[in-house]
Parts: sequence; C-alpha cells; structure tokens
Amino acid sequence: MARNRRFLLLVAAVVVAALVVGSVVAIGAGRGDSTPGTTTRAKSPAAAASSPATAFLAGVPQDGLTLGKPTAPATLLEFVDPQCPYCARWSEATFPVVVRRFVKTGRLRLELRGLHFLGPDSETALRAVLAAAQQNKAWNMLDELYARQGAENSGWVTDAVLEEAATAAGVDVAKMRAAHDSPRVTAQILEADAAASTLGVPGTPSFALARPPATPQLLTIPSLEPADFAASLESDLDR
Amino acid sequence: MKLRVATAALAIGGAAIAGYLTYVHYAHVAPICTTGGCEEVQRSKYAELAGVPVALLGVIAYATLFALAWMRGELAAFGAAIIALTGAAFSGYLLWAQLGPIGAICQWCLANDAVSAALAVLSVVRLLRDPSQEVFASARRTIVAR
Repeated sequence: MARNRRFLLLVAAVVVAALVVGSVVAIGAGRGDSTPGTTTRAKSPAAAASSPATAFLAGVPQDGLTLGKPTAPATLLEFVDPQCPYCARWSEATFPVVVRRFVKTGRLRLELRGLHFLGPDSETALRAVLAAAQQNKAWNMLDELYARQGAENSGWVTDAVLEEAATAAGVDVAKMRAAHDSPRVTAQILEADAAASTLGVPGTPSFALARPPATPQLLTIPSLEPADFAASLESDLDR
Repeated sequence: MKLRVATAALAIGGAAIAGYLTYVHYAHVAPICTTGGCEEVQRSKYAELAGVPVALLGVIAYATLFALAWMRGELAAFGAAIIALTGAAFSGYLLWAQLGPIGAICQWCLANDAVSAALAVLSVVRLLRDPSQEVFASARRTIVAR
C-alpha cells in the first residue's frame, strides 16, 4: 500500500517537473520569435546592464568599423540595421561563433555597414554606433543596443538607452554624443547605403565577402543559425 | 542513509559548478573552457530565465537538495524528487539548446547535466525505496489516533 502511494508520489513529481520545464521551454520558444513589431532580446534594464553581452570581444582588435586583425586575408562586410530583430538574433547566437572560429584565428576580419531602412529609431541607433566607432567600440555598442532592442520604431532608442548601452560598451558617452550628428558619421551612412545598393543587398542581415583585389561578393547564406552559418562561411572562404 | 549522503555530496558538486557559472555571469569574465563554446552558451538567451541567470537558479536548487538530503520523511523525499527531476529535465532542455540552436558546447554545462541526472536517479530511488521515512503516514496515524 505504502509502495503504491510512493509510486503515485513519483508520478506526481514527474508531472510537476514536466509542467515546470514545459512552461519554461514554451516561454523560451516564444522569446525566440522574431516577427516584426515584437521584442526579441528585450530584457529588464537591470538585466541588460548586467549582461556580459560583449565579453567575447575582449582582446579582438577594433579600428573604426573593422573588427579583427588587419592582416586577415579576407573581410566580411556585414550589412545590419540596429532595429532588425534577425540582426540581433544573429549577433546573439552566431556572431560569437564567427569571432571565435574566424576572427580570433586571423582568417577573417569583419567590417560594419550600417543601414537604417527600418525607420527613425534605426538612424538614431546607427549614428550612436558610428559615433562609438570613433572610439573603436562600434561592435560593442551595436551588440549592447541589440541587447536592449525594442519593437520597431516604438521610440525605444531613447537618450537613456543610448547612454546605458554606451556605458556597458565602454564608450565615452560625451564624445559619442558630440560625434552623433557629425559629417563623418553622415558620410559613413551614405557610404553604406551606396555599398548596399551596388551589391544588391536584399535585407538585413546580409553579408559580402571581400578579398582584394577582387570586388566584394554578396554571400548566399542558407541559415543564420551558428552551425549552418559557420559551415557556409567556411565553404566560401575555401573557394 | 547512504542515498542521502550521496545526494548531499552530489548537491555540493552541483552547487560548486553552478556557483562558478554564476560568478562568471556577474563578473563579466569568460569561463575557463576546454570545449571552446562556454562563452557562447553563457551569452545565449538560454543562460537566463526572466532575467535571472539559470546558474543562480541551479545554486538555489542544489542548496535546497542539500538541505532536503538531511531531512527525514516522505515529504522531504517527495520534494527532493520534484526538484531533482525538474533540474534533470531542464538540463536536458539546455543540452538540446547547446547541440541545436546555440551550436556550442559548454563543459561546465555537461558536468552539471551529469550531476543533475545522477541526482534525479538518487532522488527517485530514495522516494521509492525508503520505507523507514513515513512522515505522511505517521502524520495520518496521529490524526486517526486523535
């Protein structure tokens, strides 16, 4: 009798465990959705501030919009919009893998091409990223903004968000504000627009591989997931 | 008794692993890693639950299991089974995340998975095979006697 009761208790324990983990998995799956107008990586400000979002970039050389060793034989041009949820997802899951496998090993360097086609919040955020590039912190700043990304054009790119992201990225906020609307930043935006137009960039994120003296080639990426993306990039580099 | 001692020992080991990962999270440092993917896993969305690091939740769960290991009775065994089974199932989910969406393996997470699975087995065995701990039953007898 007691043994039967213990067995029932075990069944109850299994059911409780299944319910708890099932709920967590369901919440996690919902969090991964990247439909327009939803928040993909939105965290509470405190959580975002405490997230080691860019720890993996430590020790990787940055110069303006480039990330990686200048001696790398190839450059991956990354076309992004700071408001693009897929860009944030790529940055969160795949970017660290690319940095570890290709950039830190000296095989590749990345070069940022910021676009702002999604709306006014895109341009405000992009200008902050380009201003941070003048302190060689563009990639940190972009990643910190992704970590705080809100719904498209909801006005989420506030001064407070920019300041918080800049602080987390190790950017001098005053210098960033001073450079935000500078002619240099405007010129970089126009250059990126022109490059996207020349290459026929269909959306963000898009990637082009440059191996001088050959002209950059737009890459066909089968998936933004880490393993697939890395395999595809490996194949492109081997060509 | 041996079951509960083994459970307590494993809980200490699990708490040490989870404690280290919690430290890594809040100290913003890269974990020591031989598998090469610890940082990616730690940085992924799966490393947090409602803004709370899952490693911290692990510390709390292991500490609770440690405490329950020293408590007698069916109620303690039942509570331990719920926590251990939940932990093992959640570890399985995180293992799936590493092999699938994240595409990187964290050695600390694998060690945690092993500890978690072992604790689940011990907790189930304890719940099914410890006839000397009958808190529910003795409580019922007391009520009947009144």
